[in-house]
Amino acid sequence: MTELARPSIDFPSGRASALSRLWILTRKELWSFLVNPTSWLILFFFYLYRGIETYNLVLALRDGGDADVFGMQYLAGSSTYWAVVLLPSLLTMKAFAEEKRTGSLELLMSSPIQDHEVVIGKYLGSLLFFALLWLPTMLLLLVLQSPLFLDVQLSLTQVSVGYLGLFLLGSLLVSVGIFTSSLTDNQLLASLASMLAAYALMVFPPQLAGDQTTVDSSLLPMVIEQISVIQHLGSWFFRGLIDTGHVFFYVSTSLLFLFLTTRVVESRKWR
Amino acid sequence: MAMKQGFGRGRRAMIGASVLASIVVALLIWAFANYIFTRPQLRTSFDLSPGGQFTISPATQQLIASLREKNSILEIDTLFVPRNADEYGLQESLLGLTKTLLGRISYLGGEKVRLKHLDYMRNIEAVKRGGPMQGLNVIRLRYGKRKRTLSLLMQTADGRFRSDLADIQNPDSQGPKNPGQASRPVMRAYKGEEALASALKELLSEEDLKIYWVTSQNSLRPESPPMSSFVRDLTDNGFLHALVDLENEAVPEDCDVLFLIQPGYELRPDSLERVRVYMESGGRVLMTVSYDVNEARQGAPQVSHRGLLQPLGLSLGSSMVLNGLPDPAGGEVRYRDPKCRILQIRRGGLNRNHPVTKPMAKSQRYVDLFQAREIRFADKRPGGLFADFLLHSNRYTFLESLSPNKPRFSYHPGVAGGLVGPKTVAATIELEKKGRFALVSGLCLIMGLPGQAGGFYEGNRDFALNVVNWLVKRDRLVTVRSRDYRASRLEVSLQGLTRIKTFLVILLPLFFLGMAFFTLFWRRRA
Repeated sequence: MTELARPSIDFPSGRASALSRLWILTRKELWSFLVNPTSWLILFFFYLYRGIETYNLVLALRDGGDADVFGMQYLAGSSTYWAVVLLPSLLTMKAFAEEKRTGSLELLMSSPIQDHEVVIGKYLGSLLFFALLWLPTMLLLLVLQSPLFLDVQLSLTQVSVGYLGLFLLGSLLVSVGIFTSSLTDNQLLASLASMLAAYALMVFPPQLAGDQTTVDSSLLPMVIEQISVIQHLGSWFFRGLIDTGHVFFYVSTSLLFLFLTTRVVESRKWR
Repeated sequence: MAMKQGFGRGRRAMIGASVLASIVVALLIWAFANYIFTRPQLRTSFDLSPGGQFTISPATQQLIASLREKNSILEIDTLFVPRNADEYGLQESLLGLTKTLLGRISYLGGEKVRLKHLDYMRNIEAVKRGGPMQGLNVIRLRYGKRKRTLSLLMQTADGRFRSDLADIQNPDSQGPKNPGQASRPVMRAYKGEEALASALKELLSEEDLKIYWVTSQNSLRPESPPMSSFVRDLTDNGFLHALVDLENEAVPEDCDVLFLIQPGYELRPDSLERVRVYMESGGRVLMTVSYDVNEARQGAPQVSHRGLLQPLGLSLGSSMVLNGLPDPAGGEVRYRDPKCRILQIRRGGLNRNHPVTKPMAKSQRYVDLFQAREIRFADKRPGGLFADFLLHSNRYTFLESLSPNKPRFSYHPGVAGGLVGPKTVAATIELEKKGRFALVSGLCLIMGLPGQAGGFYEGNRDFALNVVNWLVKRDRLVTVRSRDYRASRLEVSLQGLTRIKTFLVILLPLFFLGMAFFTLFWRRRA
């Protein structure tokens, strides 16, 4: 990252300015994404793939297909899952690993700023960019339902709930990515670890559950149900259903990984 | 580095241990909090789907809650085979809605409900382990020894798609495309909760009731091939079967319901008297009368409704819908013609004079009686009981009770959606002495189309069982609440497709590529 691309960091001190410091950090992270050609290239490939996928979906449903199915499949396409696995890791791999490698982390830490503020700032920056990445897909849906394209009334409430689910899953995976990035100074390794974690979260619960979906009081099925992010998305959020148990899982797990990241960042002081 | 030098080895170990402890505590808190918040008591869910599709009605919730008090576990298996692209949207839609609905039922039922979703292509071994299949694309419900199967999506021999969980509109392959009719099968209404609740109620029923099948009058017996699916379902739902020859014996006292299915000729005086005595003592009778088109064309005598009903003190109403098939006696059959004794509506033979069917014939639309689900309570009329076969379109209702105080139903062709969906095809009559009588307009409505793949009833299973349950006064088993689910449909023109392709596949990605070059250029310049 060049100096020019980065906004000047002038952290205000004092307890009351904690939010300001957080905002500055978040803005810095977000800005670093926006002025990076790689970010736009990622968007190019993502939207190209998604465009082809959406076009194929329209082809499949164009003759009397159910508009609600279109709305749901638009969200639940393979590009969504690929994006959910790949993007958080790509966005967060630099968060700490790059700063560690270049030594700029020590510089950042010597500023009047708390460790957890750095972690939250980087997390929010990555999460905001992740959300920005999805924003055009939402706008696209609004455009697509116009008379010029599909001329159909989609259930936007249902779609919005689907996006909420994506956002929650994104927030969890971004926090995982931030955590893996804090563990190493190798970006590639951080990214790979984060991808593997995301992939495992998507693949293992259905494998563990086998072909049986049970709401049971015994521990294992309950744990499987609670971590089955694919099922949460496909059977709940994308259908317009919100379960407070699922929301709690995403929020609490994100917080847990942020806490772990803070501990890792702090550990450099005493290791 | 300065920091590292500031800590001694022992202190670093101490800090490390405390950090480790804080991590362990955080993990424990996280696990405990998640455990607590997954408890059904603390969980809340919000249904923001169109029309609240997944909001289970209080009646169904109560039904599911009653499972908790029982010993058996309700097992629900969904077995499906992915279909080809033609039915892609339909199957996706049906499967998605059904899986989510079953998930909700499982969620409410807790440990008393076990769900399995078996994708045949991915779980062949698991499917095989499940034992012999009655068919694919089904939902099997098992509760103790009782079981029920609902068809998720099936294709009949004529290529039409049917489901127990939805009303499906099939494209018209033979005639011209009707207005608003797609060239692929589409779901017009989803009624999964109704079908599952109905099935569940039947499974939970604990009493065994006896059906006597009339063997005289050349009626169909339970072992007759067309009745096999119906009989199997009745048995699964706690009915026992026995035979009675009305020409030689009276209706036995333990008869809970008397079946007179498809009599070949009208009741003889002694048989008639036995039925009358049975009905007057509070008996229940199910009668179906069908008209065989081919036999009628060959001049074979056909039993008439009037001939069967009038001796029992029942009369037919003028709303009876008749078709315009050539009468065996010759000449064009006309509406209200005494010779016209057929209740049958087929697309090929719509009566162009009947006030109900005339507009259908004109608009090239037809009534699909095989989807019929509704029975109706007939009004009492002075001078006897009155059976009226109404052709009533109420898409989302299986059974509707009409109060005599309410105005009579008036059918208005042309009202949106009026010609599709379930139709009233049976009259149910409450007799003076607590007896009940149900007249179903055709055998096909009880047993479905003969010779169809899998032998399912398709759309009529619930209807048939509802009628029988109503007869034996298991009114609580006659379920169903209506639910409106109508998604708008995609109809994309070729120009629209081109626009979408240009916009999604070319312009939008190019914009992002342009931004990549712009930032690169800008950074280099800076």
